[in-house]
Amino acid sequence: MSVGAEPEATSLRGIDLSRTFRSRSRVVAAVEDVDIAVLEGESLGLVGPSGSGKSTLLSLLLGTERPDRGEVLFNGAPLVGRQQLREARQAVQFIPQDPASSLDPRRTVEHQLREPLRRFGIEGDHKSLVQDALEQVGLVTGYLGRRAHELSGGQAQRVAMARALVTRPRILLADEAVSGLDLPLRNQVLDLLKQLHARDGLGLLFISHDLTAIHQLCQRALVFDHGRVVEEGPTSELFYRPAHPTTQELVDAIPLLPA
Amino acid sequence: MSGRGWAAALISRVAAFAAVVVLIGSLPWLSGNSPEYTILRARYADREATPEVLAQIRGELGLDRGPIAVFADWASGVFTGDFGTSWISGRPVLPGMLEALGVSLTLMGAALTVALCMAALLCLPVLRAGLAGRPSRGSGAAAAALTALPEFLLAAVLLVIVAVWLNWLPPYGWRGIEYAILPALALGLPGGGLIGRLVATAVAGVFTERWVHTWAVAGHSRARIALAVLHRAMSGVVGQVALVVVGLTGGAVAVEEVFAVPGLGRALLGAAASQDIPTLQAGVLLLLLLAAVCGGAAALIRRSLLGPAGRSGHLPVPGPPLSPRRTWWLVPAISGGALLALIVAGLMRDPYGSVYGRLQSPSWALPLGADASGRDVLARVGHGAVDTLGLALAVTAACLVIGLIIGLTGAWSTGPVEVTNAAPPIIAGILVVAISGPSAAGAAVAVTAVSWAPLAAHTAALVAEISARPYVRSLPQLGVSRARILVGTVLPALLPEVTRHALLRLPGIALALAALGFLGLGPQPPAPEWGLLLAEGIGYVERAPWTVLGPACALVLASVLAVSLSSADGGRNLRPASDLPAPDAEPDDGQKPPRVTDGAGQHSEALAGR
Ligand SMILES: Nc1ncnc2c1ncn2[C@@H]1O[C@H](COP(=O)(O)OP(=O)(O)OP(=O)(O)O)[C@@H](O)[C@H]1O
Ligand SMILES: [Mg+2]
Repeated sequence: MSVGAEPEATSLRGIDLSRTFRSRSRVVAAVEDVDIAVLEGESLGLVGPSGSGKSTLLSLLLGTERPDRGEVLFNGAPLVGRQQLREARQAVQFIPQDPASSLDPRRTVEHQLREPLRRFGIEGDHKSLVQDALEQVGLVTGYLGRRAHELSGGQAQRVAMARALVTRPRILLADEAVSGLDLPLRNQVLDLLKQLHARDGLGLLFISHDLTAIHQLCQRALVFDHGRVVEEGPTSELFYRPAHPTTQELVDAIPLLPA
Repeated sequence: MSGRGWAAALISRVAAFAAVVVLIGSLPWLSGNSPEYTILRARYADREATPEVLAQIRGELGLDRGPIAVFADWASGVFTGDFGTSWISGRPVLPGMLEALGVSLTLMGAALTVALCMAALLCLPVLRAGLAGRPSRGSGAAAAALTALPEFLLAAVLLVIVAVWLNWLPPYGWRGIEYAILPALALGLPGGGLIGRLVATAVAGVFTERWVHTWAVAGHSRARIALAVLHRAMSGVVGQVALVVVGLTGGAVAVEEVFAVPGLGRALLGAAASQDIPTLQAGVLLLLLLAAVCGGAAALIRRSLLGPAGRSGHLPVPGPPLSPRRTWWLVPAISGGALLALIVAGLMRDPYGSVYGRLQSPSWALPLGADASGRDVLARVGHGAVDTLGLALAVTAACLVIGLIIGLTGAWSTGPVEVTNAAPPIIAGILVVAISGPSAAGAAVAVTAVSWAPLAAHTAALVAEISARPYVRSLPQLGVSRARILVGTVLPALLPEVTRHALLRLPGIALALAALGFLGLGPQPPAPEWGLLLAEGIGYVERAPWTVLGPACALVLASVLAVSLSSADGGRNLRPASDLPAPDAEPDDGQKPPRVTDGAGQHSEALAGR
């Protein structure tokens, strides 16, 4: 990055991505010909029935899964090679779908939050960075020394979120980040993400079954089914005038509380 | 498994095999200075060992042209069927070795018959219990332990009891069918016990599966169910059974030595003792071929048992093993306690002083009598424990370190693990002695060289499993490098389990060391090593049976301890070789990593669906 120049907005794009899983008897086209762009400063929602390939798309974007076809571009360059991967990983973080099992059972919360700070060589007082990150997600005191089995599901989810946020990424990919939380906590987390988005321009890819959350958080959304994008548009329109049957089904299934 | 993993496994197999062949081919060069002296002594006894004469012999052998030329000479000869001439007799080595191979094959065939009968006897009760709807692991550790004595010990005991005391069968030689009985029993019983236990465990596991119940309810005959269960159980253990058969080659060396059978093993031992390297090379190469043929046959049998669905990785891993009996600790505790008492009693006495009468019989003051030099047998057994077990501990630690390092390389470890698994410690011992002469350190090196493989296989399987855990998979995203993940996260997670496995192998390693000592491939007199004690005593067994009783008791206790400990672990860590799934036994996509269990790969869909 040259001095004085306006830093370019971080972007993560998937071009024409396909990934098929083959095993003995089954062939599952988990992702087929998908184009997607996650940009700094924008927030994108991703909805779709269970098993439609959302998590797989995320792994492709993160480079943990290789696409059969297509490519992933980070800031316009293909996501290959050590240096490029390292830069991308520092700028793009993610919250996995199953956060509890993404925590090392042998290590304390503090150790696991310090790990990315150390590995990416981030400067500053790591202890206070870790504490800030935990406070952000509502884990105020007494969590530093705990291990995964001493956390509730929702607490583990928020530790995973704090770990993703502690390095101040430019883009956050969140897979079902609010699914295990009670309503007040869910709202707190959504508020936090909204604030990070509005204040710091954090780019978001937010996967959720919770259309209300997506509606609150995201300007645009993609609807996914059988590995393909079946509908896409601003959330304000998409959920009020769903065109594709999959979208209609998802919208119709939103439970209405009795008035 | 990914394409890269397959390639790595293939390359590592080829490389490991090539390394062994190169090792054998360069033996003359590896054995350093001694070849010219060997030849001088054997062929030119009248000439002085002047530098000129030695140099002339070196030139004749081509040793001064370096290891590559030595290997190339040998390899080109082998391709044309010329295995060289003996350094001792000066005659071509191949005809004699082929004759010896014929004897060994006859002996091994007879031993295999014994082994299969023994195995059938062990499996029958398990099969019966299963058909009656009460699946159980069957025969207790005690029964199995009796059949799992090391071959050299069993051979010595049979020789003493049947041939010398009872005079029922000839003790030495190879002149008729009656000469084959004792060697075949000594060689076949331990292997049969092992095969029986493997199959019995697998059969018991199969009986707990749901389809067996379904078949029974559907009215299939007991015979059909029994056949189906056996078929299914065998497919999982045939690879391990092949390893047991390959292991017979090592046992055959000891058995042939004890009963003076003119087979390949005895020829090898003689060649190692006299440093007749060309003979040794031919013999070891023949043994390797034999092992490769056994392994190939096992692969074919396994394939035909499983049908097309049996490609590696398509076998579901077995569920939790049947829980061990509540009293599993009884046998190890008793044998361990008795061994400890023997050792402690012996440690308080002097093992080297010849203060008693020659072959003095046991008394209160001298509980186990005296040996041929008037030394206290109890003292020698006690101090021998320190030698044997201390060395075994060092070997175990070395194996643990080597196994961890090689296991961490994942698929690259496939070849070395397979090749090493097929090499019995005795063969390794013969090679080491050929290179550097017999010594305690040499025996330790030989046993280490072949005993790390199961630990490496275990490590590799655990690496595959742990690396697939979500918290490990998420580490790259946090900027943690591959090497750091392996050393910082995966290694600490697998260390306790692999260390426990290594400790369970300690008694087995001690027995392997004792076998080398017994054959003169280990510590030399007057060291009080157990195998050596047994070998020293066996010449006096008619007049003074106590000279073998002490060391034999110690060895029996150690083997009972070894076997009962391993079966307490669900039969996971049996004696000869890896019982763990090969590192490439990994399902597609690596989604569900193999859980490490006793490797009795199970395959209910394939069978039930047929
Ligand atoms: N490693 C794999 N091997 C084989 N099939 C897989 C693998 N990973 C995912 N699949 C299959 O790919 C499809 C998409 O899976 P994915 O996890 O991406 O769905 P998802 O949209 O995230 O579902 P959910 O909302 O339930 O989390 C599914 O049918 C799944 O069974
Ligand atoms: Mg998912």
